[in-house]
Amino acid sequence: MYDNNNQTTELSGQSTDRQIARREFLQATMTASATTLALGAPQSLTAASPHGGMAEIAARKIAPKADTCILLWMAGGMAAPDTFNPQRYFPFEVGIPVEKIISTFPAIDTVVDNIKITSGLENIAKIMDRGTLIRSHVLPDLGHILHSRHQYHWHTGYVPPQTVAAPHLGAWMAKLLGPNNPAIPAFIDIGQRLEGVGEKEELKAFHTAGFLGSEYGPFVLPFPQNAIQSVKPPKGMTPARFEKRNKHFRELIKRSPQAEFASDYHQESLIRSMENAYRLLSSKERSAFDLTLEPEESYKNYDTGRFGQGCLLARRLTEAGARFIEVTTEYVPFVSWDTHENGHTTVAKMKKEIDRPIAQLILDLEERGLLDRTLVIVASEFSRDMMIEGVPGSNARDQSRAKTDVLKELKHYGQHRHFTGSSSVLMFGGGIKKGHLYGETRNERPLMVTQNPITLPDLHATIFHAMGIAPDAGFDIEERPFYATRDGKGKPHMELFA
Amino acid sequence: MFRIASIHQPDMPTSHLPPSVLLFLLISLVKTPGYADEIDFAHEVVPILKKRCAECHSNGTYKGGFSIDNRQAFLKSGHAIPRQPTKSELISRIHSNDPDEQMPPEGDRLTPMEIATLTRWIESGIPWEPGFSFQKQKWQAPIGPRRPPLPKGPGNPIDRIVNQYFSSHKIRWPDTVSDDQFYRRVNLDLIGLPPDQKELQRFLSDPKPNKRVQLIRDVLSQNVHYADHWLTFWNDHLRNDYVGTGYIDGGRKQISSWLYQSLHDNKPFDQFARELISPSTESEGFIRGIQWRGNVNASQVRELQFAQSISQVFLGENIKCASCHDSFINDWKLTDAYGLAAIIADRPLEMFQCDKPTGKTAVIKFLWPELGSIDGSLSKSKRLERTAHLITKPENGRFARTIVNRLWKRMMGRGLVEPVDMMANRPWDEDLLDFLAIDLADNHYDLKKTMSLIANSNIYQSKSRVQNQIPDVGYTFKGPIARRLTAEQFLDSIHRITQTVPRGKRVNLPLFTGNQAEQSKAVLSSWIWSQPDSNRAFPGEVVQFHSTWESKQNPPNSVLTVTCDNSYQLTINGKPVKKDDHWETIESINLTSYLKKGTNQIRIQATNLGNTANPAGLYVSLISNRQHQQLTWMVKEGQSSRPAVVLKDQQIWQQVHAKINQQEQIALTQKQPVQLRVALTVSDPLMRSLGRPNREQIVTTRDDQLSTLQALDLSNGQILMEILERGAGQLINKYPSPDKLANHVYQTALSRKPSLKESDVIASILGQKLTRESVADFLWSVIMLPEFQYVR
Repeated sequence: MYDNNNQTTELSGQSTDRQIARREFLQATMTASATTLALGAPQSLTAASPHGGMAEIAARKIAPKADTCILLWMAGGMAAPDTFNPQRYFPFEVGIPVEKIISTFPAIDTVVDNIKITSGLENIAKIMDRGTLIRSHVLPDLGHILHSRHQYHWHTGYVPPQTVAAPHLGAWMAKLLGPNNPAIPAFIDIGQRLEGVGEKEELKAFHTAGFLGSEYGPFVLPFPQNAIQSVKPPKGMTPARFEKRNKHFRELIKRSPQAEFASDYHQESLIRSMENAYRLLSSKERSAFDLTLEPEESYKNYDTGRFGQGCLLARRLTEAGARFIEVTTEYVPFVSWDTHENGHTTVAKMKKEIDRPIAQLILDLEERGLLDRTLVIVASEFSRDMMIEGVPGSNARDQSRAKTDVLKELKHYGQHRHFTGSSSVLMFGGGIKKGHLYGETRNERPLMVTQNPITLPDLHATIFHAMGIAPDAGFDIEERPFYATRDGKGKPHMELFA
Repeated sequence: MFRIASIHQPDMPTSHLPPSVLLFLLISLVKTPGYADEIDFAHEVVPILKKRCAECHSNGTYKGGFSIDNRQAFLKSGHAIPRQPTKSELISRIHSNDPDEQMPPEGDRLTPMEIATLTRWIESGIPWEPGFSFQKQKWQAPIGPRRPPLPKGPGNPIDRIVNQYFSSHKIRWPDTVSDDQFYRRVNLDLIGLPPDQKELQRFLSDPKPNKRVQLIRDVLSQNVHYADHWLTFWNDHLRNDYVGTGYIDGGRKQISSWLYQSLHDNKPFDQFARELISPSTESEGFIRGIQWRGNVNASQVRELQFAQSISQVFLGENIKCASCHDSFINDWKLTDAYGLAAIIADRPLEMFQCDKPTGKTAVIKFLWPELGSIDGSLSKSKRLERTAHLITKPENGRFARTIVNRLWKRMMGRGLVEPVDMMANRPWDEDLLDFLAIDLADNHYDLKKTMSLIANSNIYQSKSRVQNQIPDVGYTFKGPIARRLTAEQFLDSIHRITQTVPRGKRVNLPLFTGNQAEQSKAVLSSWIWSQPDSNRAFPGEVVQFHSTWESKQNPPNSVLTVTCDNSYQLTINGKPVKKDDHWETIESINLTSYLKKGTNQIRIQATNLGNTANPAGLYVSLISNRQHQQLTWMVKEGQSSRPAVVLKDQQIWQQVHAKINQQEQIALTQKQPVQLRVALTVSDPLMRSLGRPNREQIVTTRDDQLSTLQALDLSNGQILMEILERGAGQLINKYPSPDKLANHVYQTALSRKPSLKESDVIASILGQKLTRESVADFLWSVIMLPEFQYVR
């Protein structure tokens, strides 16, 4: 068996996890072989990744503040002035010049004195004392507003294209932290369908572990109500048949005339992975994936649609020991947050979908004593504006489908242009300050950040910091150092932590 | 101590740490400098050391006994003390103005910025890039070709060189692999298909001593299968795909047709490369790269993508680092990367360093001036032509070495040089690499010749070595090692075992272009409908077509080529066969398992869509045993039927005639009815899970181990389950007895019959009477076997 091999046993001690053993092994060989490398020996650790050699770069150790990270993704560009950054408001009225309006929803009070958000978010208003609202997230205008591209950037921290396939935020956690509970996949992605045509094809580019290897890629659950199917024996297969099938499989391996290959690392990894899968598919933890087991009342609290069910699933998985979960409102071009016309009406609907479940998730995690060790983030690829595309001076193309200077009909009323100058982000748990407002924007158009700007590398560094990952943790891939935050340069905003 | 270094890893949750370790952790956290002190060794420190210190203190020259080759040597000197810049002599010397003291002794003093950087570096503990050294590699990869002396004696030159290698490394020759395993290996390695049971039997019972030579020749002569298989390899290398990033708005261009044709024709590899570097409109997609909408990083503009791609694919050189700044890992400089990029630039190309403009303009330059230069005053197309020439001319030995090394890896499990994209690394045997390269050139860059040479060697035909761990630095070659089936090989094999066809969205490639297409544009059959006016079919009209066909044999190899504007449902002998509603996709359906001896009933329900009268038509042709069969089509009206009408204007659907013709030509000329391979379908979640990459980047090596997520998809994924259930139904019809079925599955999957020990288990899985369930579970158990998932 593998553990009988020379270095591995010495280095990993009693570690039974091959993956870890190998990682340590790689680190060790890289250091030990510095001289060999100089002599021109092949630098390859080929089999470690699909792209050839890969070695971990030693980074500072950080004590994690959270064990689980939940990213609630507002796909398609959530308009801050209509959600968490209320500004000058006018109700719809024919004849009002668009330039007078900044918000299409009135402001409401929250439980925190100095924080106001917009109407339709009354449940979140009640839990604002549990977390921090950031109004100063700044994203780059990438020259041509395209959701898949900005989402790629937000999720990987790198502007596409890159010379190697960049890993998703969740893949970094899966790789560097591993699963929280071995029976729950470390990176779970809820709500996004990846099959489709056109721009949907491009979403696949970042729903991946990239060069880290498929082991760390997302476990994709597009429909929360069907999540249990993904961890159950296949449709139509009884548990007894499933167990029997596995037994027969093992028996056939045992009797294989190729017994000599038992210690081959390929064979070993195959059998280990099959066993892991079998364990998950027959573990008790998999009931966490089953929404029908949730008490009806609690289920109703979340059930505003797929996103709400996704939040519930995220809570159940957090209880069971997940590492990283993303729940998305799902990106479909021109749908949900991606308002190109009729924005006000659509956003009102979106708020109904997100308000209750987000608040309920925070309350449930708190009640279960999990909020302190769970970092919950609400974010989007950029904000929106009624007039400005990109940022002032941008060469981004105007993509509104309801162009007008003066409101004539309801479809003109809403945030129909993509704005990157400031976005709102919510953060709860994981050591983040409670009842805190961070950053500020102008209160006139354009809503540029006036205080505490937080860039994407910095926001990611903050998230990683909470999870115990240094911003310059990384790997040498194709001999290029590739870090968790761009060029290893992200800086956590420590003032966000309590 | 090692365990402390892995404190953030999951086997060591902090709460389980002994107090002493926690204490250590706290102390080290306190000691950690703030983020403001962050230092980037590679990007900040190395350039200073390289410019100002390396000349006298590295790579064999160590003035004053001071070496900066690596961190260990650096620290050993005592000239710098981690975290104590004030006590470090290095710092005081670079500050000093005393001519006897100051460093560097000559030239400009270090700038205050440079001094500050080095001070910060020492303050933060002198971090060093693992593995980085200023010492140059002593071994230099040659560029020119070399004809190595071949060890004397008979036999395949590869074996003679390997034999020499084995004796000097005291390695015993592995045993020869058995005929059945050899059969599987050759088929999977060269055309990506599992054994055909009948052909396998014929091979095994063939007494001729040269039957392996014969087999290799036969396998490599199957041009369509060869193209289907190597399409995957080249799609990965040339990042060509059918859908995905860039395709929706013209930011990327497919080269699928050109590529498929080139593989089918076994185009000489030098010509292949020339047509990619200096392309026609059909092959230009590769050098055009991907245009991402919006602003991109300066190092990823199309011109630099060109430089990176041609260096990586054809020369095994990584100039990705040098696209941003002078590389720290090899000798390539920013000017080298831009020198290549400028070849394809339409206007003067401004150089950027780490995304900041340098104010300089790129000057055209080829990587190795000894091979020749490129005249910047030439037109762009002439410059590309010249580049293609420099890369592929015989004097460039690197070109051939790079490709033979890739082929060796595919057939033997590991490259002579690793990673395969770093050809400056030393091969484990130079003679072997150089011989294979020069042999390729001698054979006019015929890749099949190289494959054949390798496949005919005793070492290829040896038993695979058990590889206990990932092959690593200091690798010693002992023989072939296992190679994992690609997603495409894996799924094609399953389809062959279960006698099913992939249901993914098919990519239509104009197989035969140019003259051949001209010659054979005519399709075999005609477009028909219920009335003759091609343009004015009723909206929503549903027409019931039916025909009968007499078969004298059982079961005939039969292929139906069918499409309908707008949709159809095909039923044969009462069994539903196929539904489709895209008339542009042409279906070739293998009917062999649906037809019987005697009279066969074929029914097609055709529907016209739309709100107003519009063109509608049905096209069907049947080819049985490579003969076109004339069918008489009737239209059912109430209780009676009347003949279907051949439409007046057949040209309405002209655009798909080439595709129809292709399918028909394949059906007419192939020994077996054509079977769709998954490489020619759009990727689906199962394929992606099994490692078919999104081809935004060049991928030259796929993962060789099965991950847990993949295992999950294989254990309960619906896509695989459906293939197996469908296949189980198919197999039960064909092999009613459990023994025969098991034999078929084992022979196709593993190229052998089940052993007695295995037969016991199989009998208990399959039982007396075959059911869909038991057969599906049996199939699953077999395809999960490592013996199936690897080529050994």
